[in-house]
Amino acid sequence: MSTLGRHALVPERDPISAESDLELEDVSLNVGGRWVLERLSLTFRPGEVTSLSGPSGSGKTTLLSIAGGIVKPSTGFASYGGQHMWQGDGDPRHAVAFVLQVYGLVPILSARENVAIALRARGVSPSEADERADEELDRFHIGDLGARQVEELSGGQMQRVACARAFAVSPEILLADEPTSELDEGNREHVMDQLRTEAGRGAIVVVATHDPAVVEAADRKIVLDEGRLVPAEDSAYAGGR
Amino acid sequence: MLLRSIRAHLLPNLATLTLALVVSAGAVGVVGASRVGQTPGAVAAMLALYGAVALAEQSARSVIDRSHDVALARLRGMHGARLVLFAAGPLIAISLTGIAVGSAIGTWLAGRISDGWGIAYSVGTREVVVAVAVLVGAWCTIVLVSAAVIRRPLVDALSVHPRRHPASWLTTFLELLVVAAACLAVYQAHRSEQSWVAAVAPALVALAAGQLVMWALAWTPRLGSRLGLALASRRLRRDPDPASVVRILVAAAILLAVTLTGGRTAADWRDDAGHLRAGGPLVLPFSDGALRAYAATQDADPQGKWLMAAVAIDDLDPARRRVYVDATRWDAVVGDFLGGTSVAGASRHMRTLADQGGPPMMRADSIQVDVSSIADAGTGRVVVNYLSDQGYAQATRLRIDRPGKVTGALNACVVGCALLSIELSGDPFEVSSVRAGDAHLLGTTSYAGGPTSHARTVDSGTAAAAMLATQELGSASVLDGIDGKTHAVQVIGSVGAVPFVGRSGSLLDLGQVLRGAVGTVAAARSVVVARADTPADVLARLAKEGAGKPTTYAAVADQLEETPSARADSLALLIAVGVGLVALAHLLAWLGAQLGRRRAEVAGLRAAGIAPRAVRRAYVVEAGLLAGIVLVTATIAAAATTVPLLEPIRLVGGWAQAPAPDLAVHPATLASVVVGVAVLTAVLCALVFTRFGRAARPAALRSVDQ
Repeated sequence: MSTLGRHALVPERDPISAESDLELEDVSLNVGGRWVLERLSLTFRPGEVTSLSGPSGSGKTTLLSIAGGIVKPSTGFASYGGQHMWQGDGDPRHAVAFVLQVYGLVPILSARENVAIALRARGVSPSEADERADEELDRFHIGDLGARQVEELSGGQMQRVACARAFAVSPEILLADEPTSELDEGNREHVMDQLRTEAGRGAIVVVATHDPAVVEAADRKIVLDEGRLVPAEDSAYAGGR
Repeated sequence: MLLRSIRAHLLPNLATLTLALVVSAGAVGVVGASRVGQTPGAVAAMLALYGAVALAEQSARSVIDRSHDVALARLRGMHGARLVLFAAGPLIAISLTGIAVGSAIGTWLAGRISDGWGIAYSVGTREVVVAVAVLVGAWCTIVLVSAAVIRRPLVDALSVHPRRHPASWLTTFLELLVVAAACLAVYQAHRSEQSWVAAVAPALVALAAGQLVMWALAWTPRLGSRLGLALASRRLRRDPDPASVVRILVAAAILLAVTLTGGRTAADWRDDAGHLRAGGPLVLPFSDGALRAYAATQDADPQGKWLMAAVAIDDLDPARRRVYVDATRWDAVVGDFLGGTSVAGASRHMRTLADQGGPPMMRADSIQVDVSSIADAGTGRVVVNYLSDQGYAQATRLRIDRPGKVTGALNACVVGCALLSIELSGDPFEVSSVRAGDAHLLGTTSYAGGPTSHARTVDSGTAAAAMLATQELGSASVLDGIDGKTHAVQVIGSVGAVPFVGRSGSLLDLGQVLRGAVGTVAAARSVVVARADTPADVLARLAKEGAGKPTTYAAVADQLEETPSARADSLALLIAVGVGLVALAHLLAWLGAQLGRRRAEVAGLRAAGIAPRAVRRAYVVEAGLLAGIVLVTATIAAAATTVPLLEPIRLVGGWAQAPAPDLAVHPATLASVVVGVAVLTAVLCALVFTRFGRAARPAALRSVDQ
C-alpha cells in the first residue's frame, strides 16, 4: 500500500506470463573451510515478497547471490523454470535483477545511463532505453537527477538509482540486498511499495534486510543465523519489535 | 610501518620509484656529460620538466590512494607533523631512493658518454645541484598533495564511494602557468640568444599542448550509443585520469618528435656538411697549383675514372667564393659521393660545363717544329709560351734557319703543362707542324714576315663562362678567375651549396678557366679528389707527381662528430629515451590503477546484465579510441610545433659556412613517433582493460567488505 500516493508514476509493465518458483535445493556454501550456508532448501514463489533477515554474517547476501546465480553453491543448486541459476560464468540470467548492497553502479555514467545500460543489455533500442530509464528514475522520485553522474549523488540517491536499474528490466526475479539501508522513511516505504508492485506483476521478490519495517511488510519472512534457517517465531529478526 | 605502507600500495609506489629514477638518471647524466662535453646543459631541462609533471601527477595519485589510511590515522588522533609524515613518508622515502639510485646511474651514464667522447669525467657540482633540485621538487609536490589529502573531509575520505574532486586552484593555476610559460618561451626563444630558453621551450610547449588536449577532452560529447564509445566518451569527459594520461602521451610524442627530428636533421646536416667540406672520399693537396693538379689527374688517370682536379678559393666575400672542378670527371669521381647532398643538383649541368673545353696540354721534354720552307739565309723564330707544371709562365724559343726539324727544350712539363700561345717572327717561313710529345700544337702555317704573328693564342674566349651558383649569387655576371682576373660568367643553374666552400659560392669548370690563365691566386687551394676505390698504383703515381698527404672523408666527418653540437645531439637522444621511459612508466602506473577500478566497473556492468564479451569488446573500442585521440592530437601538435621549436636551437656547429640545416618535419620520423606511441597505448590499454577475471564477477559486489 502506498503512503506517498505515487503509483501514477509506475511505468506500465506486462504481467509475467509463465510463472515459476525459484527453488533452492539442499544448498550449502563452504568458504575457506567455513560453512556460510548449510543445507538450505527453500522455494520463493511468484507474486510474493519474501524477506531474508538475520544478524550480520548470517548468510543473507550469500543466499541471494546463490539464488540469483552469481555464486556457485558448494552443494545443491538453485533453479528457476527448470534451469539452474548458476550458468558457469558468474553472470546472472536476464530474468534476474539485483539491487546490490554496494549498488554496483558505473561511476562515470549518469543515473539515466546506468539504468539505460541494463535495458540496452536486454536489446532495448537506445532511445527507448533512455525514455524508460527516465520513467524508472521518476518512479523513485529522482527523475531530475537523470543527467547527474552517479558519483555526485548521495548514498540514498545512488540506492534509488540501483533500484531503478533493477526494476527497469521488468525482472522475473528481483533480489534486493538492503535496498532501503540509506533511505529515509518516506522513500523506504515507497521502495517497499514498488517491491510489492513488482510482486503484484508476478515477479519473485526477495529482500535481504535488517530493517524490521521491511520485514514486517513482507508476505513471507525467512530468518537466517549462521547459515541455517531459524524458525521466524524464534527470532528477533522476524519483524516483531 | 613505512615498509608495510609501501607494500600496501606497491604498484603506484613502484611507478613513482621508476619515474624518480628515470628523471634523475637522465637529468644528472645529461648535465654531467654536457658539462664535460661543453654542450648546453639546459637540454636536460626538457626531461626534468616533463618528468617533474609526470612525477608530480604520479605522486599525487599515490598520496590520494592513501587518503583512506590517512583518514583512519586522523580518527586515531594523529595530527600535525606526525600526520604529514605518515601521509607523505612512504613517498618521500621512495622518491629519495629513486633519485639517489637514479643520480648514481646518471653519473655512471655521464662517465660512459664522456668515455665515448674521449674525455675524462669526474662528478661536478652541477650534477649534485640537479639531483638535489629534482629531490626538492619531488618532495615539495608530495608534501603539498599530502597536505591537501589531510585537509580532505573525513566523511569523504572514508566513504565507500569516494567522489572525485574538481581540480584545486593550485592545480588549475599551475596548468595555466605551463600554457603561459610555453607561449612566453617560444616568443623569447625566437628573439633571444640565450640557449637555455630554446632548450626549455620544447618541454613547456609539449606540456602545454598536452594540457590543451586535456582541457578539450573534458568537453568530449557522448559518442555513439554503443557501450564502448559511450563508456570511453563518458570517462574522458568525467574522469580526469585518462585525459591526464593523454596529456602526458601527447607531450611525450611532441618531445620525441622534436628530439628525434632535431637529431635526424643534425645527422643529415653532418652528413651533408661532411661530404661538402671533404669534397670527396680522398682529397690530395697540390701545392704547385691548379695546373699541376689538373695535369696530374690527366697523367695518372688518363681515362678519368678515379681522379678529378679541383681548386677552391674560399674568399671572405661569398660573391668571390668559388670552386673550379674538372667537369668532365665530376660524374665518375664524385657523382655518387655528392649524390644526395646539397650539391647533388650540379650533376645535371656538368655536361654543359665540360663542353667548354680545357687547355691544350703538353707532356714532353721538348718541342718539335717541322719547317717546310724558309728563304735561304733567312732567320725565323717560333716562340711557344706555356704554363709549366710548377705554375709559372715559360717560353721555349726556337730559331729557324733551314727547312727540317727544329727541336727546343720544354722545361717543367713532365707532369703536364698548358699551351698559352705560339708566336712566329723574323723572316718569312712556313711550318707544317708544331708538336710537343703527342700534343699537336699547330698545323701548317705560313708566316709572311713583318710583325710578330700570334699563330695560336689560348685564352678563355669571349663567351661568358658557364657557372653554377648558390641562390643568392644567381644574378652574377662577372667573377674573378683562377688567376684573379675578372671574367664574364653566365649562371646556368642553381646549387644548394658548393663543395669545399659551403652554402655560398660558385662552381665552374676548371679546364675552361685554365685556358690562358697564368698563375693562381694565393687563396686558391688546389687538390685532386679521388674515389675511395682508386687503385693504389694510381695514388702512388699521383703522389710522385706532387700530391700531398690525403685527407679522407671519414676524418672530416669525425671532426664534425667531435663538435659540441654533435655531442649535444647524442645527449638529446638520451633525453628522448628518458622521455619515452617516463611516458611508459606513467601509462603503466595509470593502467595499474585501472586494474582495480575496472574490475568493480565490470562487475557492475555484468550485474546489470551485460555479457563479459560485450564488456571486453567495449574496452577494446575504448583502448582504440584513446590511441586514436593520442594519434590525432599528437600528430597535429607535433607537426605544428616541431619546426618552430627546433628553429631557435643551435642544432649544428663545426663549420660556419656549411649550409643551414634543413629544418622540416620528417614524415617518417613523425609517423614512427606518433604511431609508436598510439600503438603502445592501444595494445597496453587493451591488454589491461580486458584483463578481468573472477575478481570482476558480479559476486564481487556482494558486500562492502568483500
